[in-house]
Amino acid sequence: MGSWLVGFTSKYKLFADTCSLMGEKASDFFIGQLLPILSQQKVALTVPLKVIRELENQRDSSDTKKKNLGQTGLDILWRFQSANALDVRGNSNEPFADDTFQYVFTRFRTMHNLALITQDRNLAIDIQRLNFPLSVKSRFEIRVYRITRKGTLGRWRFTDSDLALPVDESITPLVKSHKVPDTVIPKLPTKPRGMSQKKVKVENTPTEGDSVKSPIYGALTLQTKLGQGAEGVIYRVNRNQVCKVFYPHYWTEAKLEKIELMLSLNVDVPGIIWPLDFVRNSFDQNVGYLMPLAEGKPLAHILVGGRKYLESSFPHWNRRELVTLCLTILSRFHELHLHGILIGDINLANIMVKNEREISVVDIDSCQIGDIPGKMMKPPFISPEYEKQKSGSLRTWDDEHFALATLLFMIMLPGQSPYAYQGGGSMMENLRARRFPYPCGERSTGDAPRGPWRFIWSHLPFNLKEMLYGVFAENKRYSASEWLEVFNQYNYQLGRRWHSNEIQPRGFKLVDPIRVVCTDCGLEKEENKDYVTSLENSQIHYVCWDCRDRASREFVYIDCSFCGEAQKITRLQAQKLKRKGRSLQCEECVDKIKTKTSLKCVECGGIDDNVSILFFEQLREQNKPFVCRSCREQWFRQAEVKCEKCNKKYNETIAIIKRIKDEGKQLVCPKCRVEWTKVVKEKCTECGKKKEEKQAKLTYLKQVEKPFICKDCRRRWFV
Amino acid sequence: MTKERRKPRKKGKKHQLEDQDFLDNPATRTPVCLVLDVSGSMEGEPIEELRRGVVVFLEEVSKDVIARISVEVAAVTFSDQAQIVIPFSDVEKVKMPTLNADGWTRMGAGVNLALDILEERKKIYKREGIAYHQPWMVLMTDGRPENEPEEITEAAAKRTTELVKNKKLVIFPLGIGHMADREALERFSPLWEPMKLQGLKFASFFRWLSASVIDKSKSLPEQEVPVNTEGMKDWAVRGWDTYPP
Repeated sequence: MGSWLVGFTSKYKLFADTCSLMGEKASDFFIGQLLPILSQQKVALTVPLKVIRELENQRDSSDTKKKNLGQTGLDILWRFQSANALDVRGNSNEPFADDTFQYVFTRFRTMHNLALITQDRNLAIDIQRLNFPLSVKSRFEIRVYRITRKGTLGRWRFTDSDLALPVDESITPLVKSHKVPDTVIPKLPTKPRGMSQKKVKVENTPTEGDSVKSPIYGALTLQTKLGQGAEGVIYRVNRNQVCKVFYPHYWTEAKLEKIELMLSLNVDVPGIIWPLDFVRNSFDQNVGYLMPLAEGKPLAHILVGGRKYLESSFPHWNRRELVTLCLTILSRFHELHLHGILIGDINLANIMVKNEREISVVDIDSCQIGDIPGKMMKPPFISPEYEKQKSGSLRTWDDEHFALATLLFMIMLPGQSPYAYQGGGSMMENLRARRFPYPCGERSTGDAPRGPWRFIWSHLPFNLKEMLYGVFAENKRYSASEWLEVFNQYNYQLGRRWHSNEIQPRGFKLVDPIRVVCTDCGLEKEENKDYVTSLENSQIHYVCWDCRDRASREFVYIDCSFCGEAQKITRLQAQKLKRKGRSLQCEECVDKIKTKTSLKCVECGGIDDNVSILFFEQLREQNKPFVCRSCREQWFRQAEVKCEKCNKKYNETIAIIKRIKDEGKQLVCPKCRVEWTKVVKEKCTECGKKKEEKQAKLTYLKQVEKPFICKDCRRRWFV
Repeated sequence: MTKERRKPRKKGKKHQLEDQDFLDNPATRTPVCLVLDVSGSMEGEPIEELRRGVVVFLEEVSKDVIARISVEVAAVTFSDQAQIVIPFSDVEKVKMPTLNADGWTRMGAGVNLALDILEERKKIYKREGIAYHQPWMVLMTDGRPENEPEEITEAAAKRTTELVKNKKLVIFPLGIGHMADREALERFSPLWEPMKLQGLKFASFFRWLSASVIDKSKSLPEQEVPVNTEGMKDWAVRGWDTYPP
């Protein structure tokens, strides 16, 4: 032990906590073993001022045992002090804002190897965890030790799972994942129970300040109004219970029957706010029910605003906490499902989150139990088949599992709905289109919403992506237990740091990274090799994601190829068009091409009703008559005719033949025509200069024996 | 074939922030456009109360945690011309300008402009990949269309009717005062009957409207127009033709 300790103290800066100095074997170690080594090496043991204060408190307490231990601790420190081996931190002239070990260790971990001696397991875990922040890597190490029963220095050893999750036995442990055979998930009835919608007779509805009675819990007072929904008002009755009092127009016998049924079932799932008892007004009539208080913030408030809201509610959360939250939610839902109870209205506003391991599911009286239906579902949790169902009908496992998958998606990609895509429309339109824009393997549509979402998706484990893709793109459904298995694996993998722990990773998951230079900004970036090679194969220059994002926010103006109107599109789209060699058409022109009208053909008199309006307008502009396709094709058919010049046979289109005949001109084969239009230079008889003129004209002039006069001279004649 | 012509990019911080908002905040948006009559007959107390009502609306919406990031409010006024007084932006940062009551009542122009800016906003949502709920338009007048060519009013009415029938718009027509013409408002709203405001109770109306919009932002199914008919008693007149007491 001796030599090891010598080497150790020379490499590690030592700190001690109150509890280790107060241990029974403390002096054996500190004075017996540590002090000689420290004084020989001329290094010091560091102790915060706070520890000294705590020891003094212990010494001044009335408990004899504490007194002795406190005194011992102080003695130890005294001895160190006299040997010049004690360093006290946290004096008022020290610039430390916080003299806790966490602060100090975080600050100095990149400068020294640090070691803490403490008997406190929780503190030891916290300090040990400081070794693993992802943002700051250090070549130094933090170690944590304790004084063993034998009075030696022993190291705290933790498993990875200890380090990742704080140990707190008071929180209910999660359901261990196990594949539940399908026979255990109860079959659901298909016909809803016929229930009377008659209103329950209530003489008066209690409000704030009134007193109510509960058969089990006795007399209660409706203290403060906590919230108000469409069905009733919620009042706080004591420190941890609330009471829901229904509006008279909502309090039907059907509802009463349902709550009776719920009270008779002994459902005790922690985190599900189940009714405890009826509450009655002064006339002994049932007006509502009692339930435990739900703590925490609605999940809607945390997720809907995106990163800003998430960070303000839980600033320390990483992906690990999101996954833990999913596991917590899944375990609660799984238990309810085993009872055959469907939540029905799975909704971000109905889940109250205190932390990632403690949630409460409220508004549970709108669940579906047996054959009593619950509330209607709301977008985006509505499955595409659900739309056709009417209120009052029973949900199926499919509906429930779809809503569950949507909920998990919205937690994994915080706040984002699965069917939102670039070019999409309103939420209902997106749901009906059922277009899932995130890729899985080779399948991809490529129009994920702008922002970090596609990066987050790429960092999810493959089996989770497959399952989500299965639900949203292929209409599969998975039960809560199947999700539990996948999320448990994800949790474990995150602990092993196989996946990024960031909530919003800044780039795609690097499976096979190589360095490339962006052709736009010139910076060197890391990209997946597959992606880079695919770009090279299509001869596309690599542009990094930041530049692409910027390009999709800048605008350029390009003319429509039909009407010539300038259209505003993003630079990214313009680059894509240029690369594919396509031209742009404005929306109006595309509309005009799609709308068809019917026109009469001037040739055959038949009516063609598939003529695009664009074509019609073009004809109108050029004053051309409409000729139907078959006639037009006939025109372009060629016939053999005889040239009137050289008397040879050649092919000419019927249209041209017709035109020439109409205009009374000569039918000439192309060769002769070329001869005609050939331009040569000839001397003008007037001015004597060589001027250009058509060969045909010259031959004609020769025929009629007239002199050749150039154009300019002829013009001068007329002036 | 494609010739790029780059117009100078407006270097404004506002533009930058807007984009970042869409990247960070994926919430389903609900665009709301107020179409307000500021003709001469609104001068004096009516226009002051109207302005105060709009301020109440913006405040109530900003208070709700979810509505403040998902409801987007714009306002268009019409008298001699139609003008955008509040463009679509962050609800909390909107400063309600003063309104001047002066001029005729070009209702069609106002409605057309409102529909145009709603379409523009929907295009932006589509481009970014943000889901939205169908927009709301609140049309308020104290008379009927005046000094406006019939074709324009007719065109605007036709547009809104088409959109409402295809469930692409929710329109709330509201009449102010005893000169408000019910039929003129009915042209724009085929499904929802125009309501008349009790006196100048703009604040009550806008408080009720903000509660409805907040409910909507919590994503109720599209089939229901989430209006609290009980709460309408606060500001609506029963029976259109009753004169004020």
